Amino acid sequence: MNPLIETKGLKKYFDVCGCKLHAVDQVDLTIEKGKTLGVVGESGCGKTTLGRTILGLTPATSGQVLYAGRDITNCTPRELKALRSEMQIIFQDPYSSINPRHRIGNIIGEPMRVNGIEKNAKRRKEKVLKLMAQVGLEKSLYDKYPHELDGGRRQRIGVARALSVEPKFIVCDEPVSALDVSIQAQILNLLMDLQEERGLTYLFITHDLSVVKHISDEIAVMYLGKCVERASSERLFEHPMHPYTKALLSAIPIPNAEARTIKTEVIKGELVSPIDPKPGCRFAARCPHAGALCTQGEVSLRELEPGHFVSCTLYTESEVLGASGIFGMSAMI
Amino acid sequence: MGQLLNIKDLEVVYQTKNIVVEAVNGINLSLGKKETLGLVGETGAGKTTMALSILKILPERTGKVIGGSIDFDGLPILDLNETEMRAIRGARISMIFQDPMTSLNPTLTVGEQVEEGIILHDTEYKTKVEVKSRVDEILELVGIEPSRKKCYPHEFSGGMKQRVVIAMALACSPEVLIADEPTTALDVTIQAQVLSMMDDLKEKLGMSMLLITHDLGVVAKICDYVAVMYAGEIIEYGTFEDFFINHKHHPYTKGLFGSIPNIRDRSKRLNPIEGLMPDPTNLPMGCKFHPRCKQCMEICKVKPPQIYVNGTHRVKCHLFEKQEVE
Amino acid sequence: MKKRIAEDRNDSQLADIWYRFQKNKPAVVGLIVITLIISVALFADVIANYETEAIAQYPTERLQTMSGEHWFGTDGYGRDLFARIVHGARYSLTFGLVCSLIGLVGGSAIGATAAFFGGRVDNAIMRFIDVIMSIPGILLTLALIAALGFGLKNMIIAMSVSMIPGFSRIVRSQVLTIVRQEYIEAAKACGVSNARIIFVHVLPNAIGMIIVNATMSISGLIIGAAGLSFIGMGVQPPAPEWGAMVAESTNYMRMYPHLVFFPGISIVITALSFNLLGDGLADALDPRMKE
Repeated sequence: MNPLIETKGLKKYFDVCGCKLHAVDQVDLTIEKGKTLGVVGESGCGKTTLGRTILGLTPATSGQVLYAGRDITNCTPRELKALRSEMQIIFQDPYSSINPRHRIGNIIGEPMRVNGIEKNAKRRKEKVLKLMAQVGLEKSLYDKYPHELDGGRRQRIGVARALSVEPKFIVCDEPVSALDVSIQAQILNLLMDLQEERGLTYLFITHDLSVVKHISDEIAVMYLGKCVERASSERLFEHPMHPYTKALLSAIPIPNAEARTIKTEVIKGELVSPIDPKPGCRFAARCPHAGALCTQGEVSLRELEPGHFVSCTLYTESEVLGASGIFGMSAMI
Repeated sequence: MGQLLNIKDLEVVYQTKNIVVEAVNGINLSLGKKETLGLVGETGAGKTTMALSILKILPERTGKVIGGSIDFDGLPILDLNETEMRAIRGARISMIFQDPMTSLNPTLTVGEQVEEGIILHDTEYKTKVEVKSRVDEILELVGIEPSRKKCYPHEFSGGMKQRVVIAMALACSPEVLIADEPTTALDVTIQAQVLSMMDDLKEKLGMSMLLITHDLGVVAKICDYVAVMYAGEIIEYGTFEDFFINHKHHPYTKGLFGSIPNIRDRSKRLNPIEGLMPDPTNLPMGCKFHPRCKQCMEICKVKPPQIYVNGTHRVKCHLFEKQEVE
Repeated sequence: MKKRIAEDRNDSQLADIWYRFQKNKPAVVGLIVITLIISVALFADVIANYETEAIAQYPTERLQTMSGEHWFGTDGYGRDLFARIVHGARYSLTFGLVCSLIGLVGGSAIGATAAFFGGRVDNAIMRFIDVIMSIPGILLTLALIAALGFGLKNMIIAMSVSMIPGFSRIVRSQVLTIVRQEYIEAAKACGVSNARIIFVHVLPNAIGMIIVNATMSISGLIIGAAGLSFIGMGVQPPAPEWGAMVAESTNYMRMYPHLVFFPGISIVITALSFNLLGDGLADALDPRMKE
């Protein structure tokens, strides 16, 4: 066990008109070196805030973020600056995330320059060109401006910029959501290749469960600021336990003939903001299995089988202990 | 033919002083009564342009239909004047747009916006009471409490707003509903709600639907017919079965299927289509897909393929020529 | 559908801007006229002697109409109108350019500070600006002139100060939108310093809008200066300021309309040209602008 990133009881609250918006609430995560943690959730679940807080772009309200065993939540600005070349971020929107007034070569080279990685302009250009080749950008684009490029190429620039400081850890914040389907797959493959070549560690944020399936080793499902289920990628898809995870899975439209015949259970209700949330499970209002237990007291994340954490009252302790084979909701319903 | 909407050899360009963008290049399509047609394609394929030309709401200065015809229930749409078109828009053909946040007027209540279409068009609902009860009825149909009609759009969530937009489109019981990416801006669970509602509604109201989307999964959920567009052309057309049960497809369609991360699939890597959409101001010779095609042959580079028909399945690709011969 | 404008040319951004600008014909005309007026102002002494032709009075030659000797005729004191208009260009351009520059720099500093630091600083600055903006512009200028006294320098100061609130609002809103863009966050995530973010990332993106507003404000300033001179609060006679020239000639307007016409049309043409230029720049500097 050698976690590169670890969060302990991480909280981030925002002040909204005198109320507290619980964007990230008591989240514990670990990401092993060279692995990918997928964070999945719908809008307003705090997944983006989680990424930003881990990077220190927004200060945490409480809790710890450990990078290679060191708490980085209380870093001095100087220490934080040193960390910038270790941890990077790839943004969702390839249009607003790159400065339209800069040439592509400068955009990719800037982080090297300000972090003092390569001060010599000529050598920097060589490095940038090498990086561009790695992410699949033509050399001729070095002196072009971003507005001449399409979304896919722009996203490659975003990837190259993040890689330019040779980070060990990258937060990918919905890097493919704004792209066309065929381009999405290209970028996903690129990210996977780069991970293999460079031993990168990813936190991959997305709203689309099917996207993380391929790239993640472990997946955390978030709902209104809380992590409701965490398991290895395979286990989560094979055997989802939290009702919200099940709802998410069944909501994905699958492009095959069976999709028509399976009458999926559509989950009711809407997403709300976690402003001064009531105690108990935050999914209770929409949950088809909600009972009295769900709204009394805190529902915490428990390890129901090795490596599979669920926060749901449907699974009692006794069941956990006794049942290694008879998992599943069928017994409960 | 008992078809409701017939599009023949439609060609649309966007023309500015220096540049001609060939958005739609000779499309043939028809939509029967109570049928749902899924129009699939990526950004820039010309899906939205086609929808706009059906309603004749192309950007006035730049967009031009340069060829073909659109026939709606015996009416030659392209030859109708503004007044005649206005009687069709909203009443007989409605359209819903992708972004529910911007397609509602924030200064009017939801009820007023639904009402507007009913009052504007010559419908069976004449008196105030009739209109009011129609608004209630239609809101209930899309799953909104009629009591909420006095609310303003900002009091609704994204999914509920899209329901309001749908209610507006359905208010005059149109024969054809054009839905342009109706669920793309919504969250997954909300998308599922809206999709299943639309599926129920089209059964209930017996209308035809043209569903524009980039998501084959959405198509599989509710469409009877599928057309795949690429660079302004329909490169494959067929029934639901042709697409999702048979496995003979245009290489682009295959690429689309391969690009979708499938939650049932165990393979680690995706098989994307290499390359990018062609520049619509400078389309390639021959088959427009050939620069990205893995099975590209010499003939593809020079000669545009014709359409090969196999029952209901139509494919525009040279590969299918051989199969016909065999 | 994306259109590529600069694909085949040497696509430096300046070339791109020029390409878009030169397609706007009225703006090109504006630019040409402004260049002409500026060169006239620069070479005013070569064209006509200030002391002997624009200021000195020749009672025998008063109120002449247009002729080969006096292109635009002469005024009530026998001064050559053409010479006075040529020298008047200096005044108008000085007002327009200097005041908008001072207003721009002052406004940018205040607006950017407010937007950048936000919170209380922003509140304090913007409420103060609100107070100033609640005083009508012309009243503020007049009050400042009354306090500072007449004179070219004081007039420039007064007019510049009244420009600052408007500019600081524009700059503030520009900077606020840019600061919210993801590339600013990306720069922060790369460890770029605050100063570099402001000068390399924020300002170049705001500059287009700021230049456009400055250009558009020049015409207002020229008209404003003429107005001040017209009511006698601006440039004092016998200096050949266009507005002052119109004021001096109102007595003769019935009989000799050309005395009002030439300075008047000079004001109109200059103001219009700056407006056209500003319009053209606004379109050219915005890369998203459709053709």
